[in-house]
Amino acid sequence: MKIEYLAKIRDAMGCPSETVNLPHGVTTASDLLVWLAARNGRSASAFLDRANIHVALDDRIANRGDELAGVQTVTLFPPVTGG
Amino acid sequence: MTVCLQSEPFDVAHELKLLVGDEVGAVASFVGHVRGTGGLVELFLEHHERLTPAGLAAVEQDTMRRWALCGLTIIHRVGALVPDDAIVLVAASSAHRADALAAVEFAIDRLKTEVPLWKRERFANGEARWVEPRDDDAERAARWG
Repeated sequence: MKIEYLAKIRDAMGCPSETVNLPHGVTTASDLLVWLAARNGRSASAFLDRANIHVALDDRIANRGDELAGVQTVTLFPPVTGG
Repeated sequence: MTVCLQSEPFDVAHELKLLVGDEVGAVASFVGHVRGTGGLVELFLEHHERLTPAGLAAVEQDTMRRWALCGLTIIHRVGALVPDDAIVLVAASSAHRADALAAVEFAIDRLKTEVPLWKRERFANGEARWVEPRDDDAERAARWG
């Protein structure tokens, strides 16, 4: 599964995207955020404000409880600030 | 209807003229500009190649559905901008002013809180920071239900 990081999350992670193999038990967007945050210090810092991270699954805005099964690309981004 | 994401400047007078027609009695618009306060030298607008156009299209569709409009234009710039540059144009035309005025306010409120775009400020002293969302933007958007 490809994970894209946008804006300040990308800066915090130090990369625009990565490909991961999800461990057993990571089945929802919420699970993914918890797993990513627990991987290492850099991830923990990037996902410190986890409640305010938005998720898109295959380019569709998603909810935290949405299932990851069959999803190819997850996009994680902070609150928007355009306009 | 025009919905556009572009790095190039836009011509407000030209865009407003395109909204005029036989059935149009009112054209209302909002233009957002880069503030040059605090020593800001650059405002970078980041977007996502698929999520951002989809978000703009959703705002356009919701606005057209909600108000009786003859036309609607949403143009948002991306990339590096400098103070005074125009960032965004939202313009609507309608038979009478109420719909055009309300539609513009609705569309910019939705855009600022829902369309995937992110601002990064760079200052003369070399500092750079991501702009944080404003509570009053969320409150304004929430008024529309």
